Amino acid sequence: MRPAGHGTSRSGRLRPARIGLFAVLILIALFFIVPLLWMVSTSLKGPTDAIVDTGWIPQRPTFDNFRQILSTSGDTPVFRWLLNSAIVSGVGTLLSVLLTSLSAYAFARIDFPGKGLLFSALITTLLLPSVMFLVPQFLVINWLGLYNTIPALMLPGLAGVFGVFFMRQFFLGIPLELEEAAYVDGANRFRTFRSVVLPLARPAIATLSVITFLAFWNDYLWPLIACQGDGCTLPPGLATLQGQFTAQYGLLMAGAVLAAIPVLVVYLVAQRWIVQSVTSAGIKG
Amino acid sequence: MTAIPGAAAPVTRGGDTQRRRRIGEKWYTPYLFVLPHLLVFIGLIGIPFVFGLWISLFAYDQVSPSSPFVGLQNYINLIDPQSIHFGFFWQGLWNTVLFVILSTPTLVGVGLLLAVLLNNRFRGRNFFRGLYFAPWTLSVAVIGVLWWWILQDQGGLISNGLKGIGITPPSWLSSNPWAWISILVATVWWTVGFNTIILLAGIQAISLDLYEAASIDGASRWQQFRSITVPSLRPILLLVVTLQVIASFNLVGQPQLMTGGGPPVNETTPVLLYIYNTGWTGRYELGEAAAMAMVVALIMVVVSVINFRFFASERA
Amino acid sequence: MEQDRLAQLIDEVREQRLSRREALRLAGIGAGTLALGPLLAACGSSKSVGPAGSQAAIASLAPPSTAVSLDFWNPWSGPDGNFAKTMVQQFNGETKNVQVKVTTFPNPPYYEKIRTAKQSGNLPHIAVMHVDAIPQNAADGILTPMDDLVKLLNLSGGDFTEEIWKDIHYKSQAWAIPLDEHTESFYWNKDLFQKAGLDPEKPPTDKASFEQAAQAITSKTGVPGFMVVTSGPGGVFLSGTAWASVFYQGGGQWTNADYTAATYNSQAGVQAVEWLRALINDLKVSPKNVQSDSEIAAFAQGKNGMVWSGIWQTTRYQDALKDKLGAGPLPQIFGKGTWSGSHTLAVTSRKGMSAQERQAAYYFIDWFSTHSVEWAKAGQLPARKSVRDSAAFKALPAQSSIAKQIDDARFFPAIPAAADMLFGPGGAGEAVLAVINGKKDAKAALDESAARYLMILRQNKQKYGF
Repeated sequence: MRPAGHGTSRSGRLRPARIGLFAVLILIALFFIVPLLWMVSTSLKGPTDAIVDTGWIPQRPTFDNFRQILSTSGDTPVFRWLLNSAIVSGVGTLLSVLLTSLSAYAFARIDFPGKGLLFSALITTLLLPSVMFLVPQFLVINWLGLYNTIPALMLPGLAGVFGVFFMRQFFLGIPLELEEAAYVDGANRFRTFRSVVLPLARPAIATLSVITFLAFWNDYLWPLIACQGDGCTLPPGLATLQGQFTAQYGLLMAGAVLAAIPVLVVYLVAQRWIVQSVTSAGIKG
Repeated sequence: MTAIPGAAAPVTRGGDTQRRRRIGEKWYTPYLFVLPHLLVFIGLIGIPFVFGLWISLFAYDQVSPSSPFVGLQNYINLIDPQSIHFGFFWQGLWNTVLFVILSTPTLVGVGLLLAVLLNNRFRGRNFFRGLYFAPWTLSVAVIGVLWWWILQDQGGLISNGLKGIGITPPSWLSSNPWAWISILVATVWWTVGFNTIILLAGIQAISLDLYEAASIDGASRWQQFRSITVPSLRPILLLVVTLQVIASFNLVGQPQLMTGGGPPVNETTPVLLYIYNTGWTGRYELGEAAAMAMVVALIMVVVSVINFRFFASERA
Repeated sequence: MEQDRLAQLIDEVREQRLSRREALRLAGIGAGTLALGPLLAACGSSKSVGPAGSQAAIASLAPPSTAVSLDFWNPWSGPDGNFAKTMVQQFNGETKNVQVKVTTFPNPPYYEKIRTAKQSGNLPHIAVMHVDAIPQNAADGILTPMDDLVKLLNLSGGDFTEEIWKDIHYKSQAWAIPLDEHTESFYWNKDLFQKAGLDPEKPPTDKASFEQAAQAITSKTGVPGFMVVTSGPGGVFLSGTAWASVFYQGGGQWTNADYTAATYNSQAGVQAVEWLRALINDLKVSPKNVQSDSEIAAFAQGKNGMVWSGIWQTTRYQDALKDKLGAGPLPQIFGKGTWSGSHTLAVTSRKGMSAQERQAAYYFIDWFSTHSVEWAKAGQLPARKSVRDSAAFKALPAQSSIAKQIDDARFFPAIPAAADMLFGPGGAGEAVLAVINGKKDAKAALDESAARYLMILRQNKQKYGF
């Protein structure tokens, strides 16, 4: 089996370097883990303790915050929001990766009239503050009669240009010779794309999927405008549990812990998939 | 629409000759690739963009009975020192640009460092990958509250700890440069995982043969990094730098929730917060907000052109 | 802003005149010829004919004879909303013909949600309006006047408070029924009072006793006697409302009578901010750096002797401090007055609302207002006097004690976007923060802010014609 990482073959004779590596990793890990521990600690404190009890270990630990979030009711249909979030993020990610990969391939590999101008136009909109689009996008969605529907929550994300830019940059790095070989074998563009380019781009696709999934999953302002009640996703839904004047810190953190779990799962699955694809395909230059 | 020179130019190995249309290929083939995304794009970004450009010429208000045409007045307001928006807009823009300058090298640099570290094979690698990535799954509301608890003066975790051992800490959130450093640290904690996973995917896509060959030639790890990793990563670095510049320009939540724009006022208020407040609160001046957004976008186009040029010229 | 232009503007504030250049610019904005109507129609917008509408006056206040269901939108997210939901459930149980469906949106973007709903024709029947949002929403055709209900029930300021009654009116029409008033309120820690040798049952009531209590707590207990918020995400709001209360106490007025000049740079404004600064710099009862909400956390932890907070903090303080909590009216530093917000209930300009629905909405609004003692438990003062006089309300110790200051509650002038003068960019709140942090002189900071809002007021007057 080929090694997944570089320099691994040297690990045997570089013991001190190995120790150094771990020291650095653990130091950085502390920086990342400390606020997360505070988050978990706060999530286990009641509404008053969340501001009164400033210890790392809750004096009166409670799962009330989690229970309150998970107790679905007519006003706070948490599982419905969760389901909506899962559909929007899951289907949205699949569609988005598909649409943007196709488009990106043409921008990376085929010359056609208007390509430069079109690509510049796409990238330019990437530079615009997204809050700009809020009102006109609402008008479009409303005109399409899609207010408070799943497609309404998905469409602006699907229009996003990020994936096109992202995949194009990765496609540019794939050696042309591989495609040429497939072409000589008589494959057309679509077949080359499907059977040569996409498999080689698996790490990129997995990464883009994670990024896109998270963008859908955490989107807050757009769903707030485009949905209401049980048509909403999780972030605007959880926001209705927060007070108008007073923040419920424990509840906020419990919500964050719960909402993070699915994304972490997606990430770890994607990671595994990347590692497998790299080890099995073993990209050659 | 402003064109970005160099944006569509080839940035990596493989010349123009090799990417031409193949003999016998239909003229519409590339358009079939582009079309599905383009249709959604036109509907939900293209049209809204034109709409934004259009309303920037009006004293536009979503619901007010009259939205009179004002020509370029919304733009003139931004260059007229006597207008009510002038000072706040440019102060906000300066704050945002300062953050872009501070954060882009930091976040790309730290991201690259983490990606290289995580590309090693070692026990518990998935744990570390998951950990560095984890904060990025959180919403900005959570980030703001967490770092507020850590940094605030009266009972914050760090201040309390330092006072406990007899050190009087500076006011992390309401004195400069600490306020900016606090925002930067919180942002690194929150988003560096994003850059890391993209760069990691980029590193993983580099052919192992290159390293093996270099290794046989006796190149050190550092030499390998400089002569193989960085050049091979160039398209991905361009991507990451561009995305980082965009993300940093879109700074809103961290100062809003950590410093409230202070030390006391408007030292860390980002321009987007002012745009948001102009268009969506108070007098709901959406036309003026659209004009501001266009100016910000124009500046970002200039920055991006420089960015693309830089990476294109490094090619040789 | 350039120095000479600033000086010129300050002159204008003082002399209340407008430069020719400024007048020309305003004329330019007003005289636009090209309207956006056609474009908006293409995007599916729906514009109402006019704010007043043409609905027939409702003649009786009773549930309609046929079944009606009403949509009710509010910004009451979190635990507060549960009190409101309990009330709606009770209403739905009692009134079979009228079923109310509650939808809660976080605020922000509650008002943005309402604006997009107006644009797309999805307004609810009834919406909660903060009192300072009424003029804007009335002017933008989102609300409909409720003068017929006022006439029907023969309501007047005496049924609520005179101040709030004035503020639900815009252009001589009533647009909403006040539900509550949430005043800036005074809380003290009885435990710390005792330790400082103060009588915990006799809270300070004026400048001298307040300063004395703050100094006693600071020097004898080692925790700050009081905390003035100096920065942070809620800095403008918290320092702004504290300042506004003292400003009102000194007889401060936001604008002149015809709303053509911002007048909060008056002596009342200056002395208010100088007093807050003195608490930090001269009396040293408040620490130098207090981020917003840390004063609330410190008070709840027993590490802050006294605090001024919105009355909505009552339940949190009660949970944390139990019987150590004292609550009551603000001390009268320069006289009577306290900043207050208010939730009101309004009927919208929803497309095709029938007379039946309107009648049902009126019935619901009146019912909700007269049953608001449940709502008071969320940490609110009922706006309706009859509810405040009820035994059920008097049984709420903190709320009923704070309610003694209800007639001192002051509000912004009833014109669109008036709250920006305190909370908006370059408003008084920002000026206050700059002054108490030693960045600006009190008079200069308020002059500069008032100069900015003089321009904004005149632009608004041009646009809305108030």
